Amino acid sequence: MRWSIVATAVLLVGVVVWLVLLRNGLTDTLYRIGLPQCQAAGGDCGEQLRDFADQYRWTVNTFGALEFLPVLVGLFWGAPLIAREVEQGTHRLVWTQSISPRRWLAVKLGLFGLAAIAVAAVQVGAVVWWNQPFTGLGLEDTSPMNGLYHYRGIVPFGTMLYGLAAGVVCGALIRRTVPAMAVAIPAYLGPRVAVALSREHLPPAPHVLRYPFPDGNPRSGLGDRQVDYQIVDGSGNPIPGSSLTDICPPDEPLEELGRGTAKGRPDLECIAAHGIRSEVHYYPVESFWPLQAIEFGLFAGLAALVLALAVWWTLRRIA
Amino acid sequence: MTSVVDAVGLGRRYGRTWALRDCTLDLPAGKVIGLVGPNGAGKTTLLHLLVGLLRPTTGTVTVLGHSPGHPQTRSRLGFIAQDKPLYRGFTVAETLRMGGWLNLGFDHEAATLRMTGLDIPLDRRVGKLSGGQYAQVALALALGKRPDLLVLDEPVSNLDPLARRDFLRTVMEDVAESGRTVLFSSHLIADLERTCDHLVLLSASRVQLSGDVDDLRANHVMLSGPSSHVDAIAAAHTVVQADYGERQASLLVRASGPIHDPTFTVRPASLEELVLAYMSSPRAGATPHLRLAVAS
Repeated sequence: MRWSIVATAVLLVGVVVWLVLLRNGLTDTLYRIGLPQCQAAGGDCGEQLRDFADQYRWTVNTFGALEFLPVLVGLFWGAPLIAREVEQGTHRLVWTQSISPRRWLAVKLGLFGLAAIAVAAVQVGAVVWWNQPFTGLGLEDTSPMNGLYHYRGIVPFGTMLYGLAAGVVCGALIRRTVPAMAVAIPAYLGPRVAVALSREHLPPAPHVLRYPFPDGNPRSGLGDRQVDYQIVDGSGNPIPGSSLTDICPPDEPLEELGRGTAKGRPDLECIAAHGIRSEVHYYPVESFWPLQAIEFGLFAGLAALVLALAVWWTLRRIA
Repeated sequence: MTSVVDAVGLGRRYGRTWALRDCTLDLPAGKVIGLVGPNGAGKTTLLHLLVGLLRPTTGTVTVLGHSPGHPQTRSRLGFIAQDKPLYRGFTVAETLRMGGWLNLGFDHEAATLRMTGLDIPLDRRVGKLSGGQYAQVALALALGKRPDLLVLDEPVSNLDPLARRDFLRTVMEDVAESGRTVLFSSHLIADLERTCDHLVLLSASRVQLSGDVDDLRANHVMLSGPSSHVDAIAAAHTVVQADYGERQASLLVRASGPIHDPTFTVRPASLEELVLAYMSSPRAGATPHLRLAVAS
C-alpha cells in the first residue's frame, strides 16, 4: 500500500519530467524549422508546416506509453485490492470488525478510485500543458481531436477508472494476486482497443462534406479529425481513384510519375461534368466534448458494472 | 441462563459436500466454551457461520441476540481467525490504530498498555514479531473492541508451548476480569481441560456433544470388567466406547445412575478420555434418546 503509493508518485514524476523534456525539445525544433517566424512574416509556410507536422507526429506517437498508467493502476492497485486480502486471510480480520464488509469494500474502492482520478488529473494536466505551444499553428495534428485525443479531456478519467476496475474484478474472481495481474492486462486492453477501433461506428456519427475533386479540403487547418475519405460520382456512390482515368481519359499524353507508374491527370472538365467529388467523414473540433463524454461514459459505465460484479461476488457468501 | 449463541438446524454446504449439518446449539453466556473435533469436522465452518463470514445454507442462528452480521452483533463480537491474519507490514501501533478506525468503541489505551506490559515494541512491524508476540497483538486487537463474545479459531495451534501458555493465560485473566464469553476451537484437548467450562464436540459435520464440563465429568465413568457383563451395563447405561480384551472389556459409559455391578472397577473419566471416546465413535450421541450400538 505505502509502497504502491510511493511507486505511483515516482512514476508520475517520471512521466511529468519526460513530458517537460519532450516539450522543450519539440519547441526548439519548432523554432529551428522556423514555423512561427514564417507565420509572423505572413508568407506561405507550407513547407515548414509539413516539416514540423512530421516531427510532431513522431513525438506524439510515443505518447502511447501513457497507456501504461491505467494498466499499472489495474495491476498494482486493482488486482491486489481484494485478492491480496483473501490470499493473506486478512479479509477475515477486517470483515469481522464493527464496520460491515460492504462498507469496508466501499471505502477501499472509493479511496483507490479517488487516487486513480488523481493520477488521471495529473496526466491530463501534463498533456494539455505539453501541447500548448503547438496549438494554433493551423495544424491538423496538434488539434485536441487528433494525436493526443485519448490523453486529454475526460476520457483518461474513464480509462483510469476502468483500468482499476478491471484489476479489482480479476482479483475478486481469481482471488490470487499474481494471476489476477496477468489477466488484468487483457481485461483492460480488450475494451480499450475495441472502443478505439469501433469509434466511428459509435454515436455521434461523423460529419460528411463533399467538395469538387481534386480541390483541397476547404476545412483544412480547422483541426478536424478525418476518419474517412473517398471519391464519389455524381449520384454519390464511391468509386475507386484508379477508375477516374477510365471515366475521364487524360486530355494530355500519359506522363511518367515516380517508379515507372504510368498515370495521367484525368480531364478535369470531364470530372466536373460527371459531378465527381471528394467526400470526407470528419469530426470537427466542436465534437471534442460530445465524443469525450460518450467514451468516458462507456469506460466509466463498464467500470461500474465490473465493480458491482466484483463486490457481489466477493460478498455473496457473507452473512 | 442467557445464551450467546442459539443455533437451530444450522448447516452449510459447499457444492455437494456438507461442511456442517443439522447443528442445534445453545451456548451459555459467561463461560469459556471449547469447540473440539477432528480436522475437517466443521469447526471453522461453524465459527465462520457464527461470526458472519459465511451465510448458512440451512437453519437459523442468533449470536448475542441478533443474526450474525447485524451491526449490534458485529460491534459486540471479537474474532481471531485461524492463523491470526494481521497486516504484516503494519507496525504494532498502526495495527491498534486500525482497530480504532474499524470499531467505534475501541479501547486504544488498554490495547496499547497490554502491548507495553508484554514488552512488545509498538514501532515493530507485525511480521517481524515472534509467534507468541504476534498472537498477543492479534488478541489485543480483538479484545480492544471490548467484545461480549470472543471467538478464537485454533488460537494456539501454531504456538510453541510457552507462547501457548502465555496466550491462554492472557485470555483467562481477561475472562476473570471482564466476565466475557469465550468460544474457542482446538484440537488439543489438554488446552481445553485447563480452561473450559463448557464443551462442544463436533465430528463428521455434526454436533455430537455439548454440555457443561463438570456435568460431563460427573456423568461419564471408565469401567473395566468382564466382557460377558457388558450387555447388562449397556442395558442400564449408555456405552460410548468399548474396548474388548480377551475376557476383560474397558468401557467409557455415560451413567444413568450408580453402577451396581461389583465385577466392574469404576473410575472417573478424564475430559481427554471422554472426548477421545466420543470422537472415535462418531455415531455416539449425548442426546438421551440415542441408544448405542457401538459394541458389536
